[in-house]
Amino acid sequence: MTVRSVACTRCRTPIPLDFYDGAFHMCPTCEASISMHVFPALAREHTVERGEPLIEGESSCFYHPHKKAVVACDSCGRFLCALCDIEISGVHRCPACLETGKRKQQLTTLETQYIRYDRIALALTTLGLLIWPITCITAPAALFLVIRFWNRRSKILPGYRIGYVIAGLLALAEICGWVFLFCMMFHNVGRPHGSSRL
Amino acid sequence: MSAVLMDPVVSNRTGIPRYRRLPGLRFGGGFARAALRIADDHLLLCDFRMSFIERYKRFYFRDIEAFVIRKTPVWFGAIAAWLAVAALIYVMASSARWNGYVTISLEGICALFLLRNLIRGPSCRTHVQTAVQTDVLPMLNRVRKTRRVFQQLFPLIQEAQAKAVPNERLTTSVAQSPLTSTAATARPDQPVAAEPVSRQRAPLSFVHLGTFFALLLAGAAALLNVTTRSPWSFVVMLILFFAAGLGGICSLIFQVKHSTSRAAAAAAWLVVIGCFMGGIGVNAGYCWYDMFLRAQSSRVPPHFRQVSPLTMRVMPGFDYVLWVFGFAAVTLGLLGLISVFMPAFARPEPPPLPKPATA
Repeated sequence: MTVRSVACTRCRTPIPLDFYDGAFHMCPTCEASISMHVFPALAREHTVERGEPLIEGESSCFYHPHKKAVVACDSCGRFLCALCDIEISGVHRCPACLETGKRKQQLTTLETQYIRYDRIALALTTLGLLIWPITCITAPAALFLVIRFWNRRSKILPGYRIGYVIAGLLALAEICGWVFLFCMMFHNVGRPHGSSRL
Repeated sequence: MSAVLMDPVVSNRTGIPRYRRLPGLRFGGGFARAALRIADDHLLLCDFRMSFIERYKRFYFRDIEAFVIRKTPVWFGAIAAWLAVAALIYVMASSARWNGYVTISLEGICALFLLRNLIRGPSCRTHVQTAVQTDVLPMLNRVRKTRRVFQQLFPLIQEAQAKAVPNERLTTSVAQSPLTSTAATARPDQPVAAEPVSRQRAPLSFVHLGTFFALLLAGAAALLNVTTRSPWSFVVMLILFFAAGLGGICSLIFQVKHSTSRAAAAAAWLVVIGCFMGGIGVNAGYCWYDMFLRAQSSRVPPHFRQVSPLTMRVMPGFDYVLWVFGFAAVTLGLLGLISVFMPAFARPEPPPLPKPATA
Protein backbone atom coordinates (compact mmCIF):
# COMPACT_ATOMS: atom_id res chain seq x y z
CA MET A 1 0.00 0.00 0.00
CA THR A 2 1.40 3.37 -1.00
CA VAL A 3 0.95 6.43 1.18
CA ARG A 4 0.48 9.84 -0.36
CA SER A 5 2.63 12.58 1.08
CA VAL A 6 1.72 15.71 2.94
CA ALA A 7 3.41 18.85 1.65
CA CYS A 8 4.68 21.84 3.53
CA THR A 9 2.04 24.53 3.16
CA ARG A 10 4.68 27.18 2.61
CA CYS A 11 7.13 25.76 0.07
CA ARG A 12 5.06 22.73 -1.14
CA THR A 13 7.88 20.31 -0.38
CA PRO A 14 6.79 16.76 0.48
CA ILE A 15 7.45 16.20 4.15
CA PRO A 16 9.34 13.08 5.29
CA LEU A 17 7.17 10.38 6.79
CA ASP A 18 9.08 10.61 10.07
CA PHE A 19 7.37 13.95 10.72
CA TYR A 20 3.84 12.53 10.77
CA ASP A 21 3.69 12.33 14.55
CA GLY A 22 1.91 15.53 15.54
CA ALA A 23 4.99 17.19 16.98
CA PHE A 24 6.55 20.34 15.53
CA HIS A 25 9.41 19.81 13.08
CA MET A 26 11.40 22.10 10.80
CA CYS A 27 10.66 21.82 7.11
CA PRO A 28 13.87 20.65 5.39
CA THR A 29 13.51 23.31 2.70
CA CYS A 30 12.05 26.49 4.15
CA GLU A 31 12.67 25.69 7.83
CA ALA A 32 9.11 26.53 8.76
CA SER A 33 7.90 24.95 11.97
CA ILE A 34 5.17 22.51 11.00
CA SER A 35 3.14 19.85 12.72
CA MET A 36 1.14 17.19 10.90
CA HIS A 37 -1.68 14.97 12.02
CA VAL A 38 -2.51 12.28 9.49
CA PHE A 39 -5.46 9.95 9.20
CA PRO A 40 -6.12 6.59 7.55
CA ALA A 41 -7.64 8.32 4.52
CA LEU A 42 -4.12 9.28 3.46
CA ALA A 43 -3.40 5.64 2.68
CA ARG A 44 -6.71 4.94 1.02
CA GLU A 45 -6.55 3.96 -2.60
CA HIS A 46 -8.98 5.92 -4.68
CA THR A 47 -10.68 3.94 -7.41
CA VAL A 48 -12.99 5.19 -10.09
CA GLU A 49 -16.11 3.20 -10.72
CA ARG A 50 -16.58 2.80 -14.46
CA GLY A 51 -19.69 0.69 -14.41
CA GLU A 52 -19.96 -2.97 -15.22
CA PRO A 53 -21.06 -4.05 -18.68
CA LEU A 54 -24.65 -5.11 -19.07
CA ILE A 55 -25.48 -8.80 -18.80
CA GLU A 56 -28.58 -10.10 -20.55
CA GLY A 57 -31.59 -10.11 -18.28
CA GLU A 58 -30.42 -7.28 -16.03
CA SER A 59 -31.57 -3.71 -15.90
CA SER A 60 -29.50 -1.15 -17.73
CA CYS A 61 -28.53 2.37 -16.84
CA PHE A 62 -30.84 5.09 -18.17
CA TYR A 63 -27.90 7.13 -19.48
CA HIS A 64 -25.66 4.19 -20.53
CA PRO A 65 -27.80 1.42 -22.03
CA HIS A 66 -24.80 -0.88 -22.28
CA LYS A 67 -23.93 -0.69 -18.59
CA LYS A 68 -25.48 -2.49 -15.67
CA ALA A 69 -27.72 -0.53 -13.30
CA VAL A 70 -26.69 -0.73 -9.66
CA VAL A 71 -28.98 1.77 -7.96
CA ALA A 72 -32.06 3.86 -8.61
CA CYS A 73 -32.10 7.63 -8.32
CA ASP A 74 -33.78 8.64 -5.08
CA SER A 75 -35.23 11.69 -6.78
CA CYS A 76 -36.58 10.53 -10.15
CA GLY A 77 -36.32 6.75 -9.87
CA ARG A 78 -34.16 6.24 -12.97
CA PHE A 79 -31.76 3.33 -12.92
CA LEU A 80 -28.14 4.36 -12.70
CA CYS A 81 -24.83 2.63 -13.29
CA ALA A 82 -21.83 3.06 -11.00
CA LEU A 83 -20.54 5.90 -13.16
CA CYS A 84 -23.75 7.92 -13.09
CA ASP A 85 -24.50 7.35 -9.43
CA ILE A 86 -23.74 10.45 -7.37
CA GLU A 87 -24.02 9.78 -3.66
CA ILE A 88 -24.19 12.71 -1.27
CA SER A 89 -24.89 12.11 2.41
CA GLY A 90 -26.31 8.67 1.66
CA VAL A 91 -28.72 9.90 -1.02
CA HIS A 92 -28.24 8.62 -4.58
CA ARG A 93 -29.00 11.01 -7.44
CA CYS A 94 -28.53 11.12 -11.17
CA PRO A 95 -26.65 14.00 -12.79
CA ALA A 96 -29.85 15.58 -14.09
CA CYS A 97 -31.53 15.63 -10.70
CA LEU A 98 -28.39 16.94 -9.13
CA GLU A 99 -28.21 19.80 -11.61
CA THR A 100 -31.91 20.55 -11.18
CA GLY A 101 -31.64 20.52 -7.42
CA LYS A 102 -28.65 22.83 -7.53
CA ARG A 103 -30.34 25.24 -9.92
CA LYS A 104 -33.53 25.40 -7.88
CA GLN A 105 -31.54 25.56 -4.63
CA GLN A 106 -33.30 22.51 -3.28
CA LEU A 107 -30.15 20.69 -2.23
CA THR A 108 -28.65 22.20 0.88
CA THR A 109 -25.57 20.01 0.52
CA LEU A 110 -24.69 21.80 -2.69
CA GLU A 111 -25.28 25.28 -1.39
CA THR A 112 -21.86 26.92 -1.53
CA GLN A 113 -22.63 30.55 -0.96
CA TYR A 114 -25.28 32.86 0.33
CA ILE A 115 -25.57 36.62 -0.03
CA ARG A 116 -26.08 38.33 3.30
CA TYR A 117 -28.62 40.99 2.45
CA ASP A 118 -28.95 41.95 6.11
CA ARG A 119 -25.29 42.98 6.17
CA ILE A 120 -25.65 44.87 2.93
CA ALA A 121 -28.57 46.77 4.44
CA LEU A 122 -26.56 47.42 7.61
CA ALA A 123 -23.63 48.70 5.60
CA LEU A 124 -25.88 51.02 3.61
CA THR A 125 -27.34 52.52 6.74
CA THR A 126 -24.13 52.85 8.74
CA LEU A 127 -21.49 53.66 6.14
CA GLY A 128 -23.85 56.08 4.44
CA LEU A 129 -23.69 58.22 7.57
CA LEU A 130 -20.03 58.98 6.85
CA ILE A 131 -21.20 61.12 3.94
CA TRP A 132 -24.63 61.92 5.29
CA PRO A 133 -26.18 63.50 2.17
CA ILE A 134 -26.19 60.15 0.40
CA THR A 135 -28.41 58.68 3.10
CA CYS A 136 -31.34 60.04 1.09
CA ILE A 137 -30.51 57.21 -1.32
CA THR A 138 -28.99 54.57 0.94
CA ALA A 139 -31.74 54.63 3.57
CA PRO A 140 -34.58 53.79 1.16
CA ALA A 141 -32.34 51.22 -0.52
CA ALA A 142 -31.64 49.58 2.82
CA LEU A 143 -35.32 49.58 3.70
CA PHE A 144 -36.10 47.96 0.37
CA LEU A 145 -33.57 45.23 1.05
CA VAL A 146 -35.02 44.60 4.50
CA ILE A 147 -38.55 44.25 3.20
CA ARG A 148 -37.66 42.34 0.05
CA PHE A 149 -35.39 39.75 1.65
CA TRP A 150 -36.94 39.51 5.11
CA ASN A 151 -37.97 35.90 4.62
CA ARG A 152 -34.90 34.80 2.71
CA ARG A 153 -32.38 33.05 4.91
CA SER A 154 -29.64 30.55 4.33
CA LYS A 155 -30.93 27.00 4.59
CA ILE A 156 -27.67 25.85 6.08
CA LEU A 157 -27.15 28.53 8.70
CA PRO A 158 -30.42 30.45 9.01
CA GLY A 159 -29.14 32.63 11.82
CA TYR A 160 -31.19 35.42 13.29
CA ARG A 161 -32.99 38.42 11.82
CA ILE A 162 -31.37 40.88 14.16
CA GLY A 163 -29.40 42.39 11.29
CA TYR A 164 -32.57 43.11 9.36
CA VAL A 165 -34.20 44.64 12.43
CA ILE A 166 -31.31 46.98 13.15
CA ALA A 167 -30.94 47.96 9.51
CA GLY A 168 -34.66 48.60 9.22
CA LEU A 169 -34.76 50.76 12.31
CA LEU A 170 -31.74 52.77 11.20
CA ALA A 171 -33.17 53.22 7.73
CA LEU A 172 -36.48 54.40 9.15
CA ALA A 173 -34.68 56.82 11.44
CA GLU A 174 -32.70 58.26 8.53
CA ILE A 175 -35.79 58.58 6.37
CA CYS A 176 -37.61 60.32 9.22
CA GLY A 177 -34.64 62.66 9.53
CA TRP A 178 -34.84 63.57 5.88
CA VAL A 179 -38.59 64.12 6.10
CA PHE A 180 -38.09 66.40 9.09
CA LEU A 181 -35.35 68.29 7.24
CA PHE A 182 -37.53 68.84 4.19
CA CYS A 183 -40.40 69.97 6.36
CA MET A 184 -38.19 72.50 8.09
CA MET A 185 -36.83 73.76 4.76
CA PHE A 186 -40.30 74.22 3.27
CA HIS A 187 -41.53 75.82 6.46
CA ASN A 188 -38.72 78.38 6.33
CA VAL A 189 -39.25 79.00 2.62
CA GLY A 190 -42.94 79.64 3.14
CA ARG A 191 -42.37 82.18 5.90
CA PRO A 192 -41.62 85.77 4.64
CA HIS A 193 -38.09 86.97 5.34
CA GLY A 194 -37.80 88.90 8.60
CA SER A 195 -41.33 88.19 9.71
CA SER A 196 -42.05 87.37 13.32
CA ARG A 197 -44.78 85.53 15.04
CA LEU A 198 -46.27 88.62 16.66
CA MET B 1 -40.23 40.68 18.93
CA SER B 2 -38.47 37.99 20.86
CA ALA B 3 -39.60 35.44 18.31
CA VAL B 4 -38.17 37.59 15.56
CA LEU B 5 -34.86 38.10 17.29
CA MET B 6 -34.41 34.64 18.73
CA ASP B 7 -35.29 32.43 15.78
CA PRO B 8 -33.72 29.09 16.59
CA VAL B 9 -31.41 27.37 14.15
CA VAL B 10 -33.59 25.04 12.17
CA SER B 11 -32.27 21.57 12.42
CA ASN B 12 -35.28 19.35 11.99
CA ARG B 13 -35.95 19.77 8.31
CA THR B 14 -35.23 16.78 6.13
CA GLY B 15 -31.79 16.89 4.50
CA ILE B 16 -30.46 19.79 6.52
CA PRO B 17 -27.78 18.62 8.93
CA ARG B 18 -27.59 19.82 12.49
CA TYR B 19 -24.58 22.08 13.01
CA ARG B 20 -22.88 23.10 16.19
CA ARG B 21 -20.29 25.78 16.47
CA LEU B 22 -16.61 25.29 17.10
CA PRO B 23 -14.51 27.98 18.80
CA GLY B 24 -12.90 30.55 16.62
CA LEU B 25 -14.35 33.62 15.03
CA ARG B 26 -11.69 35.63 13.37
CA PHE B 27 -11.78 39.22 12.32
CA GLY B 28 -9.24 39.73 9.63
CA GLY B 29 -8.31 42.43 7.20
CA GLY B 30 -11.21 43.82 5.25
CA PHE B 31 -13.70 42.72 7.94
CA ALA B 32 -13.37 39.14 6.77
CA ARG B 33 -14.75 36.54 9.16
CA ALA B 34 -14.75 32.81 9.20
CA ALA B 35 -16.35 30.21 11.42
CA LEU B 36 -16.17 26.45 11.68
CA ARG B 37 -19.28 24.35 12.19
CA ILE B 38 -19.40 20.64 12.77
CA ALA B 39 -22.09 18.23 11.67
CA ASP B 40 -22.42 14.48 12.13
CA ASP B 41 -20.24 13.58 9.19
CA HIS B 42 -18.47 16.71 8.00
CA LEU B 43 -16.95 20.04 8.83
CA LEU B 44 -18.47 23.20 7.43
CA LEU B 45 -16.20 26.16 6.83
CA CYS B 46 -18.14 29.44 6.65
CA ASP B 47 -16.09 32.14 5.04
CA PHE B 48 -17.55 35.63 5.07
CA ARG B 49 -16.14 37.62 2.19
CA MET B 50 -16.24 41.34 3.05
CA SER B 51 -19.13 40.42 5.36
CA PHE B 52 -21.61 40.27 2.45
CA ILE B 53 -21.26 36.79 0.99
CA GLU B 54 -21.07 33.60 3.01
CA ARG B 55 -19.11 30.88 1.25
CA TYR B 56 -19.39 27.30 2.44
CA LYS B 57 -16.87 24.49 2.10
CA ARG B 58 -17.50 21.02 3.41
CA PHE B 59 -14.84 18.58 4.54
CA TYR B 60 -16.27 15.13 5.09
CA PHE B 61 -14.62 13.23 7.91
CA ARG B 62 -14.00 10.20 5.75
CA ASP B 63 -12.08 12.32 3.23
CA ILE B 64 -9.80 14.26 5.57
CA GLU B 65 -6.25 13.06 5.08
CA ALA B 66 -4.26 15.38 7.29
CA PHE B 67 -4.14 18.60 9.25
CA VAL B 68 -1.03 20.73 8.92
CA ILE B 69 -0.18 23.40 11.48
CA ARG B 70 2.52 25.88 10.52
CA LYS B 71 3.74 28.43 13.03
CA THR B 72 3.76 32.04 11.86
CA PRO B 73 5.66 35.07 13.15
CA VAL B 74 2.46 37.06 13.70
CA TRP B 75 2.74 36.49 17.42
CA PHE B 76 6.17 38.08 17.62
CA GLY B 77 5.14 40.83 15.24
CA ALA B 78 2.14 41.73 17.39
CA ILE B 79 4.29 41.81 20.54
CA ALA B 80 6.84 44.01 18.80
CA ALA B 81 4.13 46.27 17.41
CA TRP B 82 2.49 46.86 20.78
CA LEU B 83 5.85 47.49 22.41
CA ALA B 84 6.65 50.00 19.67
CA VAL B 85 3.31 51.74 20.16
CA ALA B 86 3.90 51.92 23.90
CA ALA B 87 7.38 53.36 23.32
CA LEU B 88 5.99 55.91 20.86
CA ILE B 89 3.33 57.02 23.32
CA TYR B 90 5.94 57.34 26.04
CA VAL B 91 8.23 59.44 23.85
CA MET B 92 5.40 61.66 22.65
CA ALA B 93 4.10 62.10 26.18
CA SER B 94 7.55 62.98 27.46
CA SER B 95 8.27 65.54 24.76
CA ALA B 96 4.83 67.16 24.80
CA ARG B 97 4.39 66.81 28.56
CA TRP B 98 1.00 65.11 28.49
CA ASN B 99 -1.15 64.65 31.52
CA GLY B 100 0.18 61.71 33.53
CA TYR B 101 -3.23 60.05 33.74
CA VAL B 102 -3.64 60.16 29.98
CA THR B 103 -0.22 58.61 29.49
CA ILE B 104 -0.86 55.88 32.02
CA SER B 105 -4.26 55.11 30.48
CA LEU B 106 -2.82 54.79 26.98
CA GLU B 107 0.10 52.72 28.20
CA GLY B 108 -2.34 50.55 30.13
CA ILE B 109 -4.37 49.91 26.97
CA CYS B 110 -1.18 48.87 25.17
CA ALA B 111 -0.29 46.60 28.07
CA LEU B 112 -3.72 44.96 27.95
CA PHE B 113 -3.44 44.19 24.26
CA LEU B 114 0.10 42.92 24.78
CA LEU B 115 -1.03 40.69 27.62
CA ARG B 116 -3.93 39.38 25.56
CA ASN B 117 -1.55 38.49 22.78
CA LEU B 118 0.80 36.73 25.18
CA ILE B 119 -2.02 34.74 26.73
CA ARG B 120 -3.36 33.58 23.37
CA GLY B 121 -0.01 32.01 22.64
CA PRO B 122 1.94 31.34 19.44
CA SER B 123 0.22 32.06 16.16
CA CYS B 124 -0.15 29.52 13.40
CA ARG B 125 -1.81 28.77 10.10
CA THR B 126 -3.84 25.56 9.87
CA HIS B 127 -4.56 23.67 6.67
CA VAL B 128 -6.79 20.68 6.08
CA GLN B 129 -5.82 18.30 3.32
CA THR B 130 -8.16 16.03 1.41
CA ALA B 131 -7.68 14.06 -1.78
CA VAL B 132 -8.75 16.97 -3.97
CA GLN B 133 -7.92 20.14 -2.08
CA THR B 134 -5.85 21.71 0.65
CA ASP B 135 -7.62 24.59 2.32
CA VAL B 136 -6.74 26.93 5.10
CA LEU B 137 -8.88 27.19 8.22
CA PRO B 138 -8.49 30.89 9.02
CA MET B 139 -10.15 30.75 12.42
CA LEU B 140 -7.55 28.29 13.77
CA ASN B 141 -4.80 30.90 14.01
CA ARG B 142 -3.42 30.04 17.45
CA VAL B 143 -1.65 26.82 18.35
CA ARG B 144 -3.44 26.36 21.67
CA LYS B 145 -6.88 26.97 20.21
CA THR B 146 -6.12 24.64 17.33
CA ARG B 147 -5.09 21.83 19.65
CA ARG B 148 -8.29 22.27 21.70
CA VAL B 149 -10.37 22.02 18.54
CA PHE B 150 -8.45 18.94 17.43
CA GLN B 151 -9.29 17.21 20.69
CA GLN B 152 -12.94 17.43 19.65
CA LEU B 153 -12.44 16.61 16.00
CA PHE B 154 -9.97 13.75 15.93
CA PRO B 155 -12.18 11.13 17.61
CA LEU B 156 -14.95 11.88 15.12
CA ILE B 157 -12.63 11.69 12.12
CA GLN B 158 -10.97 8.49 13.25
CA GLU B 159 -14.34 6.90 13.92
CA ALA B 160 -15.59 7.85 10.46
CA GLN B 161 -12.47 6.46 8.80
CA ALA B 162 -12.23 3.32 10.89
CA LYS B 163 -13.95 1.31 8.21
CA ALA B 164 -11.69 2.57 5.44
CA VAL B 165 -8.18 1.88 6.68
CA PRO B 166 -7.56 0.82 10.30
CA ASN B 167 -4.93 2.76 12.19
CA GLU B 168 -2.68 -0.29 12.57
CA ARG B 169 -2.45 -0.78 8.82
CA LEU B 170 -1.67 2.91 8.31
CA THR B 171 1.12 2.80 10.89
CA THR B 172 2.68 -0.22 9.24
CA SER B 173 2.42 1.20 5.76
CA VAL B 174 3.87 4.54 6.89
CA ALA B 175 6.82 2.78 8.49
CA GLN B 176 7.57 0.58 5.51
CA SER B 177 6.95 2.93 2.61
CA PRO B 178 9.92 5.06 1.66
CA LEU B 179 9.39 8.61 0.54
CA THR B 180 10.07 7.69 -3.09
CA SER B 181 7.05 5.45 -3.16
CA THR B 182 4.84 8.51 -3.03
CA ALA B 183 5.92 9.42 -6.53
CA ALA B 184 3.55 6.85 -7.93
CA THR B 185 0.53 8.34 -6.25
CA ALA B 186 1.53 11.98 -5.88
CA ARG B 187 -1.09 14.46 -6.94
CA PRO B 188 -0.37 16.68 -9.94
CA ASP B 189 -0.20 19.80 -7.83
CA GLN B 190 2.61 18.41 -5.66
CA PRO B 191 6.23 18.07 -6.80
CA VAL B 192 6.89 14.51 -7.77
CA ALA B 193 10.68 14.57 -7.35
CA ALA B 194 11.98 13.02 -4.15
CA GLU B 195 14.55 15.79 -3.63
CA PRO B 196 13.22 18.91 -1.93
CA VAL B 197 13.08 22.24 -3.75
CA SER B 198 16.45 23.91 -3.49
CA ARG B 199 16.60 27.14 -1.61
CA GLN B 200 17.61 29.68 -4.19
CA ARG B 201 18.91 33.05 -3.16
CA ALA B 202 17.41 35.67 -5.43
CA PRO B 203 19.77 38.38 -6.69
CA LEU B 204 19.90 41.35 -4.33
CA SER B 205 17.21 43.83 -5.18
CA PHE B 206 18.82 47.26 -5.18
CA VAL B 207 15.44 48.82 -5.84
CA HIS B 208 14.08 47.47 -2.59
CA LEU B 209 17.31 48.29 -0.82
CA GLY B 210 17.18 51.90 -1.95
CA THR B 211 13.51 52.24 -1.06
CA PHE B 212 13.88 51.00 2.47
CA PHE B 213 17.07 52.96 3.00
CA ALA B 214 15.33 56.15 1.85
CA LEU B 215 12.42 55.38 4.15
CA LEU B 216 14.76 54.80 7.08
CA LEU B 217 16.51 58.10 6.47
CA ALA B 218 13.17 59.88 6.04
CA GLY B 219 12.06 58.57 9.42
CA ALA B 220 15.31 59.62 11.03
CA ALA B 221 15.00 63.08 9.46
CA ALA B 222 11.44 63.38 10.78
CA LEU B 223 12.53 62.52 14.31
CA LEU B 224 15.44 64.95 13.99
CA ASN B 225 13.10 67.70 12.81
CA VAL B 226 10.79 67.23 15.79
CA THR B 227 13.65 67.79 18.22
CA THR B 228 15.61 70.50 16.34
CA ARG B 229 12.83 72.14 14.25
CA SER B 230 15.36 72.80 11.54
CA PRO B 231 13.78 73.69 8.17
CA TRP B 232 16.57 71.87 6.31
CA SER B 233 15.84 68.59 8.02
CA PHE B 234 12.17 69.02 7.10
CA VAL B 235 13.04 69.59 3.44
CA VAL B 236 15.37 66.57 3.46
CA MET B 237 12.60 64.50 5.04
CA LEU B 238 10.16 65.53 2.31
CA ILE B 239 12.61 64.65 -0.43
CA LEU B 240 13.35 61.28 1.10
CA PHE B 241 9.62 60.66 1.66
CA PHE B 242 8.85 61.18 -2.03
CA ALA B 243 11.89 59.14 -2.97
CA ALA B 244 10.68 56.29 -0.79
CA GLY B 245 7.25 56.44 -2.37
CA LEU B 246 8.66 56.42 -5.85
CA GLY B 247 11.05 53.66 -4.94
CA GLY B 248 8.15 51.67 -3.54
CA ILE B 249 6.36 51.83 -6.87
CA CYS B 250 9.52 50.71 -8.66
CA SER B 251 9.86 47.89 -6.12
CA LEU B 252 6.35 46.69 -6.85
CA ILE B 253 7.10 46.61 -10.56
CA PHE B 254 10.38 44.82 -9.89
CA GLN B 255 8.90 42.12 -7.67
CA VAL B 256 6.29 41.24 -10.26
CA LYS B 257 8.98 40.03 -12.62
CA HIS B 258 11.64 38.77 -10.23
CA SER B 259 11.70 36.49 -7.23
CA THR B 260 11.69 38.43 -4.00
CA SER B 261 11.31 37.35 -0.42
CA ARG B 262 7.76 37.58 0.82
CA ALA B 263 8.71 39.87 3.65
CA ALA B 264 10.37 42.34 1.31
CA ALA B 265 7.42 42.24 -1.07
CA ALA B 266 4.98 42.86 1.74
CA ALA B 267 7.10 45.67 3.11
CA ALA B 268 7.19 47.30 -0.33
CA TRP B 269 3.40 47.22 -0.45
CA LEU B 270 3.25 48.76 2.99
CA VAL B 271 5.59 51.55 1.91
CA VAL B 272 3.52 52.43 -1.14
CA ILE B 273 0.17 52.24 0.61
CA GLY B 274 1.45 54.09 3.65
CA CYS B 275 3.09 56.87 1.66
CA PHE B 276 0.05 57.47 -0.50
CA MET B 277 -2.62 57.10 2.13
CA GLY B 278 -0.62 58.94 4.75
CA GLY B 279 0.41 61.72 2.42
CA ILE B 280 -3.08 62.21 1.05
CA GLY B 281 -4.67 61.98 4.47
CA VAL B 282 -2.35 64.43 6.17
CA ASN B 283 -2.48 66.83 3.23
CA ALA B 284 -6.28 66.76 3.02
CA GLY B 285 -6.64 67.04 6.76
CA TYR B 286 -4.48 70.12 7.07
CA CYS B 287 -6.05 71.78 4.01
CA TRP B 288 -9.47 71.38 5.59
CA TYR B 289 -8.11 72.62 8.90
CA ASP B 290 -6.64 75.68 7.18
CA MET B 291 -9.99 76.43 5.57
CA PHE B 292 -11.68 76.04 8.95
CA LEU B 293 -9.28 78.51 10.55
CA ARG B 294 -9.78 81.06 7.76
CA ALA B 295 -13.55 80.65 8.01
CA GLN B 296 -13.45 81.60 11.67
CA SER B 297 -11.63 84.84 10.98
CA SER B 298 -13.52 85.89 7.88
CA ARG B 299 -17.19 86.49 7.09
CA VAL B 300 -16.74 85.44 3.49
CA PRO B 301 -16.72 81.62 3.11
CA PRO B 302 -13.15 80.66 2.23
CA HIS B 303 -12.32 78.52 -0.75
CA PHE B 304 -10.40 75.28 -0.51
CA ARG B 305 -6.70 75.79 -1.21
CA GLN B 306 -3.56 73.69 -1.10
CA VAL B 307 -1.40 74.35 1.94
CA SER B 308 2.36 74.16 1.49
CA PRO B 309 4.29 71.64 3.59
CA LEU B 310 6.26 74.39 5.30
CA THR B 311 2.99 76.01 6.36
CA MET B 312 1.74 72.66 7.64
CA ARG B 313 4.90 72.29 9.68
CA VAL B 314 3.97 75.19 11.93
CA MET B 315 0.29 74.25 12.30
CA PRO B 316 -0.88 72.62 15.53
CA GLY B 317 -0.53 68.86 15.85
CA PHE B 318 2.07 68.37 13.14
CA ASP B 319 4.64 67.31 15.71
CA TYR B 320 2.54 64.23 16.43
CA VAL B 321 2.35 63.49 12.75
CA LEU B 322 6.13 63.60 12.55
CA TRP B 323 6.48 61.40 15.64
CA VAL B 324 4.22 58.73 14.22
CA PHE B 325 5.75 58.92 10.77
CA GLY B 326 9.26 58.87 12.19
CA PHE B 327 8.73 55.76 14.28
CA ALA B 328 6.80 53.95 11.58
CA ALA B 329 9.30 54.82 8.87
CA VAL B 330 12.32 53.81 10.94
CA THR B 331 10.68 50.53 11.96
CA LEU B 332 9.49 49.65 8.49
CA GLY B 333 12.77 50.73 6.96
CA LEU B 334 14.79 48.51 9.28
CA LEU B 335 12.47 45.54 8.77
CA GLY B 336 12.56 46.10 5.04
CA LEU B 337 16.35 46.22 4.94
CA ILE B 338 16.50 42.96 6.89
CA SER B 339 13.93 41.34 4.63
CA VAL B 340 15.82 42.25 1.46
CA PHE B 341 18.66 39.98 2.55
CA MET B 342 16.33 37.09 3.29
CA PRO B 343 16.45 34.30 0.71
CA ALA B 344 13.65 34.04 -1.77
CA PHE B 345 12.26 30.67 -2.79
CA ALA B 346 12.12 29.61 -6.39
CA ARG B 347 8.60 29.65 -7.70
CA PRO B 348 7.35 26.08 -8.14
CA GLU B 349 7.32 24.93 -11.72
CA PRO B 350 3.87 23.95 -13.02
CA PRO B 351 3.41 20.24 -13.68
CA PRO B 352 4.13 19.17 -17.24
CA LEU B 353 1.16 18.87 -19.53
CA PRO B 354 0.10 15.29 -20.30
CA LYS B 355 1.30 14.07 -23.63
CA PRO B 356 -1.46 13.54 -26.19
CA ALA B 357 -2.29 9.93 -26.81
CA THR B 358 -0.76 8.67 -30.01
CA ALA B 359 -3.14 7.15 -32.51
